Amino acid sequence: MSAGTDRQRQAVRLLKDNNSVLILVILLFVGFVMVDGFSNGFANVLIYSAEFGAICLGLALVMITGNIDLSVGFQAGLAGVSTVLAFNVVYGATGNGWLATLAGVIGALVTGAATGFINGFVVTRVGVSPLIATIAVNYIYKGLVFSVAQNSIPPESTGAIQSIAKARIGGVRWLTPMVIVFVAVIALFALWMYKTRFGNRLHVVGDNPEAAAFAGINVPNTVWVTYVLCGILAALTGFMMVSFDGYAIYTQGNALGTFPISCCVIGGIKMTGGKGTAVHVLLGVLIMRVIQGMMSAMFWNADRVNLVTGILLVVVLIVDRFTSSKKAED
Amino acid sequence: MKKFSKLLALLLAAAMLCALAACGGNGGGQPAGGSDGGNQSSNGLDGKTIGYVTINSASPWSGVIDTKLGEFVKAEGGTYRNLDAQTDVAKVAEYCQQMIDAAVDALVIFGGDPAANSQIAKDADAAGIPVFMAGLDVTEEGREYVKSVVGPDQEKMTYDIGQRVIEDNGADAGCLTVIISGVPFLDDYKQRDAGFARAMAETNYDVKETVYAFSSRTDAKSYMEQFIQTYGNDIDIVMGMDDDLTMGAIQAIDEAVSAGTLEAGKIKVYSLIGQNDAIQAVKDGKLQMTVMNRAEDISAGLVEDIKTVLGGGEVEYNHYTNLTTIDASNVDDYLGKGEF
Repeated sequence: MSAGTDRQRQAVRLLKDNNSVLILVILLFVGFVMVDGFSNGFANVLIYSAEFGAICLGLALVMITGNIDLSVGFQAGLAGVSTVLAFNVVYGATGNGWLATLAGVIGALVTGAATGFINGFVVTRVGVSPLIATIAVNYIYKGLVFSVAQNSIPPESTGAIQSIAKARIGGVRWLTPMVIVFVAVIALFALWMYKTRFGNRLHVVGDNPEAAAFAGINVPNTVWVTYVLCGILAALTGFMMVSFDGYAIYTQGNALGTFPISCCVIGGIKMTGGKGTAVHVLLGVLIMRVIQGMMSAMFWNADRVNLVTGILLVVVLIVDRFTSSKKAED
Repeated sequence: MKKFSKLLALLLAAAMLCALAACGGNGGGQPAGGSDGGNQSSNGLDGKTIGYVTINSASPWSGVIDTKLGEFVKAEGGTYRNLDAQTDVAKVAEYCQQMIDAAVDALVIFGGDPAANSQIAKDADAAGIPVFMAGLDVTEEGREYVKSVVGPDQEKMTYDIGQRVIEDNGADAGCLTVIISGVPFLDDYKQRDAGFARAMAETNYDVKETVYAFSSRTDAKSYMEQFIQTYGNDIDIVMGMDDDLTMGAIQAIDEAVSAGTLEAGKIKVYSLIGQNDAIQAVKDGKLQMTVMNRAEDISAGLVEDIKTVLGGGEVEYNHYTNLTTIDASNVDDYLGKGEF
């Protein structure tokens, strides 16, 4: 076999494994060349990717281990509520917006860690199916958010907290602290998954839990940690939503029901586990936001938006299913 | 297996291409008039683009506002752009930003959260885009950035219905009253609830705690069944905060009467919106009255205000639209004339 053929095969394989890059490039081409108004609103693609990216990354960690968390939306919603409550308590006591913002961040992350801990406990220690367990706890989080934030609850002062999502660095519209935080989080988790022993375990656990256990990996604990990380990352999105919107409200969690799953799947995270990186999540989020950006630039009706989003997801899920089966056959 | 794989791959590629080809098409999110209505013979909005962001176009009432607004803008020679947030409050903000990026000449917002809409209005104002609210106001801090709020006076509407209830039954009759409302966190329902509560405060009625059916006729029927089971023939008044919910309650009452668990004609039902089946219920004697609140009037009022403001004029902040009471005395004039 010639070296040239080998290179060709490698190139094809690389393309197959990273087809989300190709999809993103095609979409960007279509968007910039064929869709009027897309370029004007492109900054929004980056801004909203940063706002909702962390929650997708959290879910991806759980999915890589072969599990699922359907409660991420309301974990973020609950963290958003905690953000405002913590902010207002500290702001009321000190009158310092920055200190209150720090309290808001801590309030959100602690809430996320707690919800993730609960989810992980129910899944790994009680042994309830991840699907059922997270649907069930989702109702609890939803009830809590609804009871506090039926109407929007704003921080008592919005200057400091909103600057995280809205302050333009160097006057560039999309270059905000929120975008920088998101890029840093993606880079951090990409490195963590490749460079640390624990990060590497996620793929092993997702690919074959029995083999992982046989190799001495504590599978339940590993999965539990991913649920806690998922909760923390969902909470980061919860904080960002408050920072960006200037309030916490029930519908923030409600609206995040399927978006993170869509991003993960489109980005290349396998539903069956064992495959995917933080970069795949980044690609998935960008793809979904570019699609949404194009549709809103064209002022599409809700029915067309839902139809096209659904078609794309079904296509990606079928490809995922097909390639998973093929992998198993191989 | 290989053949199947190739076939599947082809099908998937075709599906993806179709989706992308659809993406390349022109804006389709327009009401009956189509996306670019700038070539009609008219004047007021020639060369202007009007953006409309709605919290939910799926409900009949807001759907009519959308459709009619599009038609009226087109008739005035303008271009109409609309986006539907599908009940996601945060999406309203995102779509309004899209409208601002698209540099529309005026922005109309329907629904969402009043505080959130204040922030949007501020952003739009900073971009030099006048903002108009359909039906619902923003919070106090956003009012300086909004040109007008066009719609019915929701609070007054239900206060007046309450006055009619008092007129029909007397303020001292001690009527057992049940209220079925819609979505507790939406401002229009909050205003309706407040108006009726204000009227009831002038009576000695036994007003039970309001239940919320979240715009579901089925849920409204279930709540009414529960009320009938609990209070039976003691119920005197049913107030529905939306005809669709009220019709669910009437269905439950009909079934209870048929089953013999409720005395026929004992309960008096009051409602608002003016949809066709409710008007028919007035005719059939199952509903005392409904108040017609035409979405088309809101759309017309919005276009009127937009034209004035874009022409350099001033408009009243509160632009109240007409309300029409439909009861036994005039129901024949309105049969089949509701908007949906």
